[in-house]
Amino acid sequence: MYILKNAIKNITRTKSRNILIGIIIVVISIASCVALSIKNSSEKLIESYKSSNEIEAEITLNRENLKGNARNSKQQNNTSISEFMNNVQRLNVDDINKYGQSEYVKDYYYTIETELNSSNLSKATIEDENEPPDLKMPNMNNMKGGNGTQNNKVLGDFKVIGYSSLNAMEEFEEGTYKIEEGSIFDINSDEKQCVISQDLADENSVKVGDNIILVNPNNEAFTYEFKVVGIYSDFSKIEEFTIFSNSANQILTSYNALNDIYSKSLENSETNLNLETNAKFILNNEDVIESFKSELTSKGLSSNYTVTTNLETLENNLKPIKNLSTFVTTFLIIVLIIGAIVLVVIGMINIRERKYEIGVLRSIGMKRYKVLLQFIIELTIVSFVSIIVGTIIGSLLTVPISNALLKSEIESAKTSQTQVNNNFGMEMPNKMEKGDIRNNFAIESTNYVDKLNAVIDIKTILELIGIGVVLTLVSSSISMIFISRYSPLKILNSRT
Amino acid sequence: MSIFKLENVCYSYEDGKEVLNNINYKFDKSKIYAITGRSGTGKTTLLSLMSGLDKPKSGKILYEENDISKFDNDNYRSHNVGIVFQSFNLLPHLSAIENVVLSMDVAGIKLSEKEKQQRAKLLLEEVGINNEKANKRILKLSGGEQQRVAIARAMSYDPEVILADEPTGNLDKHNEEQIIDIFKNLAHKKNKCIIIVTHSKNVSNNVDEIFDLEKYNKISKNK
Repeated sequence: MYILKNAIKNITRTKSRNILIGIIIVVISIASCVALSIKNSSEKLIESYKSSNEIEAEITLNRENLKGNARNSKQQNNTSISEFMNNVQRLNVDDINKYGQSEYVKDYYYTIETELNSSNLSKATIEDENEPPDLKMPNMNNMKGGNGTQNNKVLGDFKVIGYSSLNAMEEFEEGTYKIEEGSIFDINSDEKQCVISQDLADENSVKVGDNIILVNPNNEAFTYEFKVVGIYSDFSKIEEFTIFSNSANQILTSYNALNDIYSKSLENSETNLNLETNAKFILNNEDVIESFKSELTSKGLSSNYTVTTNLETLENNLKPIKNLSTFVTTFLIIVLIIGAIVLVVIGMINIRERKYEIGVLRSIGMKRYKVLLQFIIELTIVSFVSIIVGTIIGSLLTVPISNALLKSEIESAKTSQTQVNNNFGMEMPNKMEKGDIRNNFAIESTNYVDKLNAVIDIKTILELIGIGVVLTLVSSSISMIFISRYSPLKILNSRT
Repeated sequence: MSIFKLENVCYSYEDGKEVLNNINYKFDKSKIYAITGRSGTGKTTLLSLMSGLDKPKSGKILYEENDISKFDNDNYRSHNVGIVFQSFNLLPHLSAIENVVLSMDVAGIKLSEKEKQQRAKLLLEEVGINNEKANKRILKLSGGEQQRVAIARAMSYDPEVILADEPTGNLDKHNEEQIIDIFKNLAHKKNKCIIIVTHSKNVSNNVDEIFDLEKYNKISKNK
């Protein structure tokens, strides 16, 4: 008890020194409080962003490998590039199911798409069907055109997409498409139900409940009757010089319904439909990406394909937050190092001033640990009060500082991105949609995480207490060394 | 029974210089001893050894027949011996009473704060420090008064032995006389063993026994 009494007496006795120590610890506390709350909030935000934005993997063509393989094939077998491309094994649903059965995959879904004509629907287009093709308005995005061919197969007017899961219908999830009348089809059913765009419905006066007749473009004798169960609006940015939405000529149905048509088309080589299969694999986390890639290779994924993920996009979105977190962590370390050095220096001055006191206390029989305890209590009281003051000030400064820093980081990232686009001679809108004509050249724009709710939570408080303890120990370290090394006789003799 | 015994005590400095060689002596209660000798003969060193502030290189110092090297030195200094230094070694930021009370605190005396203050006042009165001066900070007191406070502090936990190193070295003759009286009183009325290292003839003339260290120190003249 007397140790505490002495410690308190000494704090008031050596006011100026303790005020100096207090100011230093208040400054360290403010810096630590701001840095820690920004760091912890950033980590939480990154964690929550990652958990709400899953890691998606897609299998896409590996153009570099395709080129190489095509050249090799030409040299070795004298096959043309188009022949080689026709022979490249396309992904099918069996492959996707095989790849989807993986411990690294949380979920997966796929779409199949083909092109069909219709006997009772007209294509939504501003092109005059009677005009020769070279006078038609250019369609920059879909160079296949309306009645072209691909792989010796005739292409249809309508793109029909079959979905394996509602999760695969990203446009509806993101709000780009919205059902205005009726409802979505039964995703698991093989009944011929579909939803069509508002533009197509208006152009052909189709209502919910009407039937549309789709026709195999390779053989018009093969027809498929679909019931329109819903009509959707497309809110995506219009890509062409047209009055119709991008998806005006899309007909959406379930995988089972479209697969039924496709399977039947395979019965005859003349009716064989051209089918594109796309899949999306939702991975457990970013750590399994490489393992998943290796697994796909071992399961037979051709070198003509590669696995791409949205990791880079996610990382880019988090870049300002991560930069901010790194910056504040570095800042915190520097502040702590400088603070610790200053406190050690003050500790050394303190010991020089109080050497005699230590010698007297030890000579009258006060034990080493009690003398040390008294010094530590003094510093703990000063540190504790300073940390409380620093935390209060820090908590008031955290939100404005964090938002200002984050804003600056985002500005910096945007400036850097604008610079890149300027290098391509392009102006960069705030958000460039996929499929923009310039997208072939532009770096995709980024939706930065721009709000950081930096608050002081329990973790931050515990870390601040930890810093307080460390600072107290650092500043009392010189006392510890001095008191433990020197005998009272040595101390008193050195004074006289 | 002697309270203190020196048995073949030897000491040399860290540089190897021998100071004490084969010292044997006995100290009894109720007596004042003066350790005398020329400067450099090891008087203060011997007092440091007896107060547990340092350890002999060989030999034994027995306190009530127990080797003090086996004691907890801090405990020994705060209970068994009271030390009075030539330069007083009081805490200047504390008052006279606070210095005495602090010593009681260190000794772990089981009294209330108020009782400790009362006892400190009494001890200070015994050595001639009145209540007004007792509440003054040490630096406001004269050298003689500071030495009295140091004696009161040494007596605060009622040790059997007082070890004093040149207690009158910084004092005038009048104050020296008064300090000698205090020590005489402690030895003869309170049965304490008082051991004083001194150069002062006046002090030597007033003690019960003079321990001339030069006579007992068997340092080889070649060294």
